Amino acid sequence: MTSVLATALSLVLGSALCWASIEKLTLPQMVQRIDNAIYGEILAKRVEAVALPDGSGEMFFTTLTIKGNSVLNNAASTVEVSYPGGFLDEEHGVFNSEEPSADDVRIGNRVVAFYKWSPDMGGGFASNALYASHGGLFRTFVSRKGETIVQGRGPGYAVATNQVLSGLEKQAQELYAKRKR
Amino acid sequence: MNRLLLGALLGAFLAGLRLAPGAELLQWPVVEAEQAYRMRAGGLLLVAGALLCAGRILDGHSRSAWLVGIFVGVTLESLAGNLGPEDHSAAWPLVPVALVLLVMFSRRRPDGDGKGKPATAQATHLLPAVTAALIGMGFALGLEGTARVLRRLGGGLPLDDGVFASALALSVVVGGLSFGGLLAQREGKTREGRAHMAAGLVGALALLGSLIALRGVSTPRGLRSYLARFSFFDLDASLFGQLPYDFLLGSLVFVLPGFALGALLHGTHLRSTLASLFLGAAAGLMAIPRLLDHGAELDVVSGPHSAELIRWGMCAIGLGGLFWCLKKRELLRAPSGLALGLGSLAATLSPVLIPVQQLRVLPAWERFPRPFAEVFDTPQGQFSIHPSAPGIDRVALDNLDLTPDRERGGIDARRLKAATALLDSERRMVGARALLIGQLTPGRALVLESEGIVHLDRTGAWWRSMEWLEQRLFRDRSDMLPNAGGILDPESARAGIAAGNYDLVIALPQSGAAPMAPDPDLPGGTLAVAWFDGEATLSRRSLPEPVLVVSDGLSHLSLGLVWGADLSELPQPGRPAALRAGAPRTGTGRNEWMFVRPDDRRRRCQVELAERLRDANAANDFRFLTRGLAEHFTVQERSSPWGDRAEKTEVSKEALASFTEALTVGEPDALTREVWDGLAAVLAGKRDIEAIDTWLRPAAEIWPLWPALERAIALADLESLDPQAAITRMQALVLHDPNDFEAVRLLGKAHEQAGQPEQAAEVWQTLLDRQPESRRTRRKLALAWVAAGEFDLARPLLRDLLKENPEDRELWGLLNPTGTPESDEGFDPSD
Repeated sequence: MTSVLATALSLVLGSALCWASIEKLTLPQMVQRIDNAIYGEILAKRVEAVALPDGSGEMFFTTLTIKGNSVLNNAASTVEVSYPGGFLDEEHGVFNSEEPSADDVRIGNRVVAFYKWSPDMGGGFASNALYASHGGLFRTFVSRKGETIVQGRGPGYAVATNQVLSGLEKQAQELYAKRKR
Repeated sequence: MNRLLLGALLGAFLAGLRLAPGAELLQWPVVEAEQAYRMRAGGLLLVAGALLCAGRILDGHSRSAWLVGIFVGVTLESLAGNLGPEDHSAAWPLVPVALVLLVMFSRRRPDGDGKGKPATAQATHLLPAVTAALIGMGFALGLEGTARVLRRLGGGLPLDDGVFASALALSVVVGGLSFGGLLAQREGKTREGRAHMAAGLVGALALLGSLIALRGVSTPRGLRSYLARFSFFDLDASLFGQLPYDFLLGSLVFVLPGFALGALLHGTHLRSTLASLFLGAAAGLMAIPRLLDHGAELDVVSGPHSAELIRWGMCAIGLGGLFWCLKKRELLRAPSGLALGLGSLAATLSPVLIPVQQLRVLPAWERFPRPFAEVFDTPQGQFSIHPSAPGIDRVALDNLDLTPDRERGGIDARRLKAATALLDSERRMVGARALLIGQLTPGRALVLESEGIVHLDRTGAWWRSMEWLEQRLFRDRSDMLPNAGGILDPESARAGIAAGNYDLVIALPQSGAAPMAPDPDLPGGTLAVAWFDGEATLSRRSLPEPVLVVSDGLSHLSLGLVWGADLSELPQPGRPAALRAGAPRTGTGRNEWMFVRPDDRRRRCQVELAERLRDANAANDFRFLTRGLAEHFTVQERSSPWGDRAEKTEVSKEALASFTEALTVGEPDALTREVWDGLAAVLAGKRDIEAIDTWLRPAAEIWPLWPALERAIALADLESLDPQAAITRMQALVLHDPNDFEAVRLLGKAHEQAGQPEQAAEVWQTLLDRQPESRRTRRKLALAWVAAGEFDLARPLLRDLLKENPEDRELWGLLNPTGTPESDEGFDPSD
């Protein structure tokens, strides 16, 4: 039986050492590092437990299924993007201080997610990792004027201020094109 | 069977000897220690009397059934059953009545009845009565000292005390069954009291063992390490307040002294000796408030503390031993007798020989160890002062909050405002006199003064510590202490109330269990309001109608009982809401709570309270609001500890729809406003723009110029990159209330986002004129001047700002700018 909150918190400290840690990034830096970015709807969410190699406990990962279009090249796709943290049930799981908030990852939300493939996010868990944890996920909404607005997270984040999605896509595609050259 | 029944009645009686908070209005948050201990001592005296009169029930028979009965009685009283406090208060007095009847019945039974030996002659006293009494006193002091510390490791409810008591009772039973026979056998051979005395000294050693065990688990690391040993139960500190956790802790610290006590109770055949044990225990309990009293000056560094009681207990047992040695001097010639004598001497000297440090027990289950400033012990319990937010210190008693933390500061203020709002306006204009039954803080003083209280007396069971606490809490803000009024002892406060000295009496809750709801005796013209914490178990309580209900938005509810005022059950615009409380619900039973985490318990309590209010108000003008509250609290769930308040609050469409309907009933009362203010703050905090558009905009159209709604909508306009709409909205709001600094700030931000630095500078200047010390506003003004090209105006201000903080790199570049910097017209959520 997995330990609950107090022990789970200690796993947070361990998971904080994992690859998916928050780092300050600008949009050019983000585009430089990721495999892709998608704008789409969160269709599903699941949590998986992965045993730690030394048998001392488990790690938990949340995987979002997002269906939409690539921000970098408009290609339609459905991708799965993961981050450390999450609960299997009431008693088994872990809160991660860097994971996106529950409001960010509600099913039905339309989000922009930056991700990069990782063969081992921890405990051998392989997936498209949400880059910079919550710093790689940005919510969007439709304004009263009918524009889709991407909500920035402030200085130090790839999308610092709110901007219209089309503007973000344009910037990202230009940066991506430069990168490919 | 009679012995089992006697034991059960005694156990139930002993376990029920608790003075509940709220037994009297002046003991609403905390009971007076002297009264509580007097009550328990009186109960033990009754037990001593009952044992003397128990007749043939116990004589000549094994004590096993009796001890088992005690355990059954303690456990049943503490844990089982779904009786509410009122049912419990009504049923419990039947216990001593049944006890008396049983005793009377037993006295009529003939000699030699039942199995076992014939009744023992009372002629030979193996253990002198004084020795037995001192041993009883020692056990009472030691066990109470242990229990006082142990209580701080529990969930703070009477249920936790009940589990600890059951753990002790079980240890007593096991000790009695295991060693009692041996003791009686040893004594049967010699009949000199040696075995009993040895058992007493073993008890003293056992008390030392319990002290060592307590020290081991009083730190978070020690506690976790202990719990981890019981991997079968899969426990950790976050499961505090639940049955397995409490039971394991209770067993750890009580097992040894419980065994020794059980052996004594089982192996002592003479009723008079047993009665002496209980008599001594009563005396021990009576002495505790004196032993923990700091005297005239509170000594928070090296004052008396609960762990010392364990040492005093050992000393008392040692004294009993010395007395025994005095009576049985001839036995000292034998090695065993000499050993007992030396052991008694050592036990007597334990206050000198054994150094004991105060055991500071702070919550081991919090995300980060709670910082504390001071921790000290008093007869009431352990006080601890914790910095909660800059300038806000929280006071806890036995780890239960007496003053609000940052999160609960809002609801605390609303309680005070709702209470003072019941005073007639004439009284408030002239200045009202009030008595606060609770701990005064700067925040509370500010609210009460602003609401027209000119004379404020304070009282509470911990009145002796209040002056020190106030000096501590007000140390940088002594000007915020009330100009008139002082700290009163409860007797003086009672006299003041009876004399009609107060217009208003306010009793504030401690976190944890809900107090009893007394009907105070108030003179005409005196208004009293006693507040329940909505996170306490209220759904099963009988409550008078109507009750005041306040909320801090969407996080907490609080219920107030009112005496001395007529409350309208119709919504009154802007006035506190007086709702029907309805009948008690079945809800979650006492024993079920022992399997629920404290966080979940608090959530469920709020749900049950909200559902009760919904059902009770289903046919009046509060029906939509209460339905919405029930729907709202039902959907709340455990949240990440790293989220802010908005992130931790779930919002349901059903609740929003009900709250919207509530707006159509009439001009909103105070509770409706509090809920909608909370809703606006939560939706703005969540940055849920679509929800703001869907729910807040229509609400603002129904009731225009509602500040919280307008500000949240303005934020949504800024997020939607429509700063002009925000400007229009905030200009109207600022015109309506120029003192709404938040609206002014949003107006400035909107001008910045709209690329209007001149207008933004005007707004910042207006704000600065009202708040000249605000560095943030000065910085904003400087940046606005730079953006507007007004470098001559900006430069002196920039220099001042850089002198204050040379690390502000952004400003260095602006001292000698080349051209006007580009403005980012996006919305920055961090600003």
